[in-house]
Amino acid sequence: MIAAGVDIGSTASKAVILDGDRVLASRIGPSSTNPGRTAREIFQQALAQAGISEARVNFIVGTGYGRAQVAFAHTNVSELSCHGRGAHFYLPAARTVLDIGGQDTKAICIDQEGNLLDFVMNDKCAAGTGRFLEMMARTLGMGFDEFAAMHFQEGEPCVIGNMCSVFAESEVINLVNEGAALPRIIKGLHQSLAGRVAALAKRVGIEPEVVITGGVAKNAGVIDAVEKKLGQKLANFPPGVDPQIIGALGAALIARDQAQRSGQT
Amino acid sequence: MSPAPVPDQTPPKGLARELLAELGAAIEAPKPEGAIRSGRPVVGYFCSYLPAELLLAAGLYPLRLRGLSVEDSSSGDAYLSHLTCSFARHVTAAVLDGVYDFLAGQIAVNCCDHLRRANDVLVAKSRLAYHGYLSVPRGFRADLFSWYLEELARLQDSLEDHFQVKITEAALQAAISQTNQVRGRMQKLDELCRGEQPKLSGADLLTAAVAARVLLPAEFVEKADALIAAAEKAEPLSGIRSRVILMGGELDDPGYVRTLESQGAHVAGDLLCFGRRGLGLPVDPSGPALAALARAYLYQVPCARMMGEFPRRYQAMVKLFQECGAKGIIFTRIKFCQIWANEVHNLRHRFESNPLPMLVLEREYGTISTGQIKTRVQAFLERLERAEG
Repeated sequence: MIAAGVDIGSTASKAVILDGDRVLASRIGPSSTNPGRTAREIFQQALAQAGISEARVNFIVGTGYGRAQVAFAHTNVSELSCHGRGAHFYLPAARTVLDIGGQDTKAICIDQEGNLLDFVMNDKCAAGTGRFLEMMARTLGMGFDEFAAMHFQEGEPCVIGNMCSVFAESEVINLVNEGAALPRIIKGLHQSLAGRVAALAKRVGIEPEVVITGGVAKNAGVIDAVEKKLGQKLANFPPGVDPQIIGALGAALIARDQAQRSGQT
Repeated sequence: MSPAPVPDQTPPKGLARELLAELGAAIEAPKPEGAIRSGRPVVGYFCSYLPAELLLAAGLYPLRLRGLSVEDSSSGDAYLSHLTCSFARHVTAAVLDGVYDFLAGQIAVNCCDHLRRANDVLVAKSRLAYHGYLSVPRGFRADLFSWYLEELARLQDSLEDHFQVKITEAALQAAISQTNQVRGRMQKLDELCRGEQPKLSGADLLTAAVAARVLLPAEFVEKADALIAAAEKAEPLSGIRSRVILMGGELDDPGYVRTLESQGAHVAGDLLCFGRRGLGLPVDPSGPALAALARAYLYQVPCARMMGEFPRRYQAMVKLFQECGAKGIIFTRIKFCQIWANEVHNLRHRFESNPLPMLVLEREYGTISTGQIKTRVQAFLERLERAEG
């Protein structure tokens, strides 16, 4: 039985194809101003990777901010439910999922089956989101890999006091002009983001294990900063699993359940 | 997981939809047409603790003040801190920008510090000729009733003095009778919304409830009667995933409720100032009219401004929750509104021992971040459905 999840996020779009419990394909691409077309393209790419035709897919679930634009999906489900299910697939002991996306950050509380119990979201501003780090990396003129790697170089973190991303950018420019070392600035930025994420997690209640999903989870510096802020180790996905596809994976798992329920196997 | 994606709740078709559109147009009109026809001086007012019957009995046209016609609140922002709630800033801006130039005056209430400050600005900076003020106690203690009654009498004197009218006992009784008819119609509309086979959505009910604050009673009753008759014959709503109740601070925008309901939430009941709570139950007209009004208004289901009355408010909420067959509570509050923030805290404390699912949505008056709201509401409904199994 083939199921698919298509996650149209604010920054990236993702698609996962499942055959039962086996991930046949997963694709990530940039989002665009035409979410319907992006959804179609990313889905086709995933189908090509899986080597199957669209006709073989029994059920498709759309998720993410553009979920309503996934016209070919049978249904859509909120990304909060999807991240919970996706994280549970690889980490059954996870009870708190922190999804740090491009546009917002979510703290999600799940049960032993990966179902949504409670959630809080932060999206009043870009602080604590991937967009925040994207802006800062651009200000410092570096790519993400270099940006993340510098976190582990020597130096005490600078204090980034501003909550507002725009003012934090001014603060970073000041620090650069004062001659602060880049690793110190980057550590400070990661600490600032970790503070926002930890505050959100505490609002929903932190139950171990805790895991971070979303594109920002690929930044080891952020993982380190959040672990320090929460005072606990975060659960790791198995090697080779991209944390950015977890929402689409959750959508595919829900699609699989729906297909089984409706007898489309 | 969830059933199929939910299209917008199917609204009643045909005549009922046309009548709702009429009510919708009435609440969006910059100046109430009924006021022009009636020739009555229009007096704007804040708060559900101000008896509109007093204004009706004075031959005035009571109009609940709103700020929706002003997208830009900069005139209000110039005088009120950015930490003031956006409802207060928008209404102030509307008055200062001339949207309410047709008003003969306004009456403020000590609802909260934000609206008290807004009143200071209106008194000092607006061109309105009359500024009334009603001080309302913050609790039900027995000795506070006489204070509230005195305040109503003081406001009556002030209206009589400024508008050179006599508010007679007979006029007050007539106004109570007219407004009770409005409440009666709202109760019928409410039944059509909360029944097992709802014919009207929560957005429809809020449209009607706001219309009841901008139309004269006779006009509202006529339109409501037509709507009730049409809605009774309409097909039940479809696409409902879960029934919820809606509570929180100032909300006069049916579009907001429509956004909640677009995800499959059916707002079967509300405890909103502009909604069904604020209109209250029919006033018992026995005894002197002013005392009858004081009893009905002071002892209505208390607003969160009645800080000491949380237990009664909580009881009313639980009763509404059960009567509506609700599965969850959507709580909406305007940013920087401390009164309703305190209410969230109190509710969460109660829910530790008696859990009820609640989604808290913070918002700004007059704007809707549709995508963000839809994501939260959809996830909340998924959570409710999962809990239901």
